[in-house]
Amino acid sequence: MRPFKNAPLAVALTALSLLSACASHKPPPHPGSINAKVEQPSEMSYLQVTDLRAVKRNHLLTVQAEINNSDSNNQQLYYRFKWLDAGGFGVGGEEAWKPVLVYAYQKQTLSAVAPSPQVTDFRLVVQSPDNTGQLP
Amino acid sequence: MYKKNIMNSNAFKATAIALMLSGCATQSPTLSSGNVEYGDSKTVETLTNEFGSTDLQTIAESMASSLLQSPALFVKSRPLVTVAEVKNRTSEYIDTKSITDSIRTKIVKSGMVRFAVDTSAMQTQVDELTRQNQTGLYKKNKSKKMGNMEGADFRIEGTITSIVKRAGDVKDVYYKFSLQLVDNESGVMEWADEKEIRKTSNKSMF
Repeated sequence: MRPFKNAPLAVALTALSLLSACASHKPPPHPGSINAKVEQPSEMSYLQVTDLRAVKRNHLLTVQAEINNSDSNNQQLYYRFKWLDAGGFGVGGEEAWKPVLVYAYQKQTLSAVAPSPQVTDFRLVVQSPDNTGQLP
Repeated sequence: MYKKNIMNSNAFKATAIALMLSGCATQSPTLSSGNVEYGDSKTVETLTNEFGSTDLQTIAESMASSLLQSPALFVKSRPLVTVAEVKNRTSEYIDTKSITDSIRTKIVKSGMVRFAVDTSAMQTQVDELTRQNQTGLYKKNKSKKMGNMEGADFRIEGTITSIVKRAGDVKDVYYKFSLQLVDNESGVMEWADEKEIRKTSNKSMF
């Protein structure tokens, strides 16, 4: 009897399942949710976008985001907006990355105005040096 | 016999492998000494605490978006604006024209405002009209006529100031960029905004 006759196959299957777990096949964010509008290369450890609202004022989309710092230390945040037209194309070129200091246990409000009346949608791209290194 | 020796020689094998590898490798269209590389022009630059590209870009974005929300610009469809001087009152050299150029570009791209020729470009405008009208080189019905320039409804002007403080190894620089929109006919200030930037550097290593 060879109970571990298929041991190599079992190891391969386990490794494959572990790898697929690392790839983090999370379901896509619900349309209209904050996560659908926020892009982050890796999940931030202490900073979180807790509120996001957009309204058209004087023909221009105005966006306000609230960032919460859950850490006892001040945290650095880098952010920029991507502005999109009705077809999903970028409008106004790339914005500059902007640095913002978020104090310990405090909230910081970011606000921005679309560069053109053609803008109908947006993405908030955020990045913090202190992050988990994992996909959000 | 001789042929077989060539095929089995190490030099032949190495050459064949090198050729195969070079065939597979993707060649990037670059010519470089290895010391120069392109970076992201939008990155946050903190090499020193002097006025830098991030400050310029941040000011331009902030001022342009704030100005586009000014109610004064919605009274008339696509009003005509000109850029006056932005005075540099800091202790360092800052190209304020570059800042106003960036602001103007962003506003023009919105399509909501038109810009008239400013004082720095006026001589070029006059030269062009003179060339078309007074050199006799152009057809009269095809040349642009003198006396049809439009006066700007508003002008943009401002200042940039700084406060620099040092304490031991710490240097703190505070910039304040102020911009205002003035109605050229009435002289009334219709809009104003400020952008503040603080940069602190520490020379000590420990």
